[in-house]
Amino acid sequence: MAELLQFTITGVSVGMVYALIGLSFVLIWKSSGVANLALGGLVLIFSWFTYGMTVQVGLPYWIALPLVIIFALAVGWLIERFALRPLIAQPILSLFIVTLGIFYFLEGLAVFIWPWMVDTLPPIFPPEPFHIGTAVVAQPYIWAAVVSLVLFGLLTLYFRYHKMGIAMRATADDQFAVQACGIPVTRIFSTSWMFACVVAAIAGVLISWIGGVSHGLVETGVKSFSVVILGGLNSFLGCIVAGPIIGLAENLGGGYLTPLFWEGLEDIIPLIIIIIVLFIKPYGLFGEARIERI
Amino acid sequence: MLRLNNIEVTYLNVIRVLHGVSMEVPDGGIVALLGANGAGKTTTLKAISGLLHVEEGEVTDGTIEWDGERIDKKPAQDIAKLGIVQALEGRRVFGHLTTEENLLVGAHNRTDRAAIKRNLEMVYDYFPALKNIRHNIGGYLSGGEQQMLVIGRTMMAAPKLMMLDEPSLGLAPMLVEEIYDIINRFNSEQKTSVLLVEQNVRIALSIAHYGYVMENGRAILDGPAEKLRDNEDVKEFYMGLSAVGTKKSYRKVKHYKRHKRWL
Amino acid sequence: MGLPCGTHNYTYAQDMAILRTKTHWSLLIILFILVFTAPLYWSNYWLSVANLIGITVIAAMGLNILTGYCGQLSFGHVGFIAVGAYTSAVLTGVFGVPFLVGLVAAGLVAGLVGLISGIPSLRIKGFYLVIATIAAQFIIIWVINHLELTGGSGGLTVPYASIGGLVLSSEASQFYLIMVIAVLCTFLAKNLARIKVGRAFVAIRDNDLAAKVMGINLFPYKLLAFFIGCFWAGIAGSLLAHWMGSISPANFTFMESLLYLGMIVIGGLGTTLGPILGVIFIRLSQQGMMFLTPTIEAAFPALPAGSAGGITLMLFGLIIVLFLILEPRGLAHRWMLFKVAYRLWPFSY
Repeated sequence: MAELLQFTITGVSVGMVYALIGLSFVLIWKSSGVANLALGGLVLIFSWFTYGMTVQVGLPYWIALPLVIIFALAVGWLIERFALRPLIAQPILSLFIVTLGIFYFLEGLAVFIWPWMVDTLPPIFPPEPFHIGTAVVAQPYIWAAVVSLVLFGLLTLYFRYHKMGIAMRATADDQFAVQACGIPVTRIFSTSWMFACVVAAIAGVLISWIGGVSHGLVETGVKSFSVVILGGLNSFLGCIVAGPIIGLAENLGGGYLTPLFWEGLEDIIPLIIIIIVLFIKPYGLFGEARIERI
Repeated sequence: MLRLNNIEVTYLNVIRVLHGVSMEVPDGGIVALLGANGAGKTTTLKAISGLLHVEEGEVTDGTIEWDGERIDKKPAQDIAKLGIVQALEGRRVFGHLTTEENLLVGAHNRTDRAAIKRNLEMVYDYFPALKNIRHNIGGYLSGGEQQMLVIGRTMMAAPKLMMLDEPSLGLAPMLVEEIYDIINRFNSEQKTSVLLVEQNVRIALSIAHYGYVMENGRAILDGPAEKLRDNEDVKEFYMGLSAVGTKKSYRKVKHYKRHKRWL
Repeated sequence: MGLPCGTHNYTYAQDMAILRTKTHWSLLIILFILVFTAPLYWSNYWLSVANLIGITVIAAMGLNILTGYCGQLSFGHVGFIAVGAYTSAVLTGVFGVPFLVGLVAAGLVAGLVGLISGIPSLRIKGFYLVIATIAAQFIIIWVINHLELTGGSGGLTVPYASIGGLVLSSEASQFYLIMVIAVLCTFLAKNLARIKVGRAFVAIRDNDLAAKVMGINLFPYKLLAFFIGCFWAGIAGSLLAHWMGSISPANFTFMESLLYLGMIVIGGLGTTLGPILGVIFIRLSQQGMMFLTPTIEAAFPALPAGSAGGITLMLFGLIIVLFLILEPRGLAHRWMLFKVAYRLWPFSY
């Protein structure tokens, strides 16, 4: 039983970090309809940047973390300014592929500066694990979950009530009409990309505290697809709910089903679950249905 | 005052759509832009609003001036900040936002919260039907409600020049009369100029002060609304009132069929 | 737009013709002569590059039918290529089935798997559908990894293709096989756009609700799109397996699927010329990158090991981004604009 609780708590916590990465994806989708295929690359580059600042340059966290945030803001602004602004109102698939190009660029950048390394970040939390019931959970897991929930709350409020948040939702609906209303669409894209990069950076740092920095972090990008599709492409709540579900499915599946059936089953269990859910709710658990009128 | 000086618009560098269009919208006036489909009316509005680049078009010649200042090279949001706001054709509401949120988006560029609130009340005053559906999702409104929402959204921007692209498209005739009354009221009460693109010549000329008729990318006819209403060419080709069937005296019979002398 | 100055269509046959003027015919014949005499004077290296391009074109053409014509986003195309590759490899290598049978079987099996992956399209639309194709990719690779028949993660060796008694072991002989199939594939794809099925696909892509209202039964057509698209992926997979000589799951990654999508977008979605141009562009860029890495390593020996690979990857990404910024609608669109402009030059508009 202790094992079950352990799996559950770690699964949910890791799932929360997936959800955070998913939040970054949803942020950009909600404000521009673009699928950010570069997400894995962003998480990668921010994690390595943190590593560079803390381990290679040796800065303490209270300087390094704000630097990472500033770096994330800069990257977001640069991407929007030079890669996405020229493509306003172009076919959406072209925008997807531009983000793919950005992904290759970021992955190449990470390989260039930190060629094929695997390492860990200096610890920020005390090494004593939390004891929840009978489970023993290392601190980074719990903190990751807490941070994710806080960010989720902030983003939801922003999008529901803030003027810019409403303008972002309008832009996702009809980019052209928004321009006719005089809203600076460029400012909206800039803001959403900068926010999204900051969220991805925070997620990257959290996941590195849990599992170390490596080039395998690009896998998180693919995981985040599963999270956002299960949760609903334009729902923050969907992310926060779907993330733990996927994390849990991976952990429990890996822990219990694998020894029974084939090894490696934990990789595809989440995908099977999602397809089953989508048959029941085609727009994800909390997604908004496409409004169609002929 | 808006002035177009002989503008030429080309799409994709290979398709020229406007071949030298000149027009003027005086302050506080209502100008109607008439013409059949494909004449270039919507392209003219997009050129004024700075939205051509979205469809790979550009103004290749001529200038557009607002109060003496050139605006044809400006980005769309700057033009809207100057007070030139367009209601696009086709009732483009933001489908997932509520009616009230749609209206608030229109006021995005304004900072005075109190003025925005007053403006919102004013729009509900002009369009009482919108007040009843203020919390309904935009995408599920009926056509008439969506058109009112789009015009209301334009009003929320406190425009100096309001450009409306085919506001009567697909609406019931009674609703069309109602909307045009409101546009007329808005123009006389708020002193906003209006540039109206319309297929329904009768209703457009009923509230317009001046009108331009476009065909094949050129403005072929213009004049005060009363003159246009009585113009034989307009009546025959755009309102479908030909001389056939009416009583004629021999003096008035022409020996040739009326044809378009400007082509 | 589209026809040279002065040519007009007076009959339905002329309107629907693929090659309308004598110039079109002559250019095509010259192209065929150039391509099919290439093995006489091209080096083995360039023939192998051409073979890879040919195989990729076949697969990309399939993806174009699925995504470009029918609008069903597919992020898992490489999974279906893998199905074709392994089907052919197992049938010819393990069971000794003749190559041609293996080729057709590869296409059919991949098409069937694609059809099954397309079943969610009954309920799910738009970007949500990509998860079904992503799932297909990962599940297929997972199955290949865990099945003894397919050699697991260690891989499988594949015998050379042989037609009749002729063993196709050289780049040149495979070049002819691949080019013939590529030409056939292009011709069939071009024709697909002209017939009822192709028009139904485009209708579904543009507005599936309106298409349904007009009597186009969505589900069978969507499944057909998946079948056709994945059939060609299977054929390409089979050719790939016999060309490479040995295959393993590492050859069929998710990133490669995304790259296929990139190829058809850069080439121009929904046109027949598009995938060809896009594939040539990306594959040649990749070859260029492969050359660049050792050159950079030699030029800057101070770089740590592996860094040069990063630079080339950055360049590759930059090329894709810059290209799409310049022409977001793809090479085929730019080519069409160029043709229209020069036909009327100097009075382009």
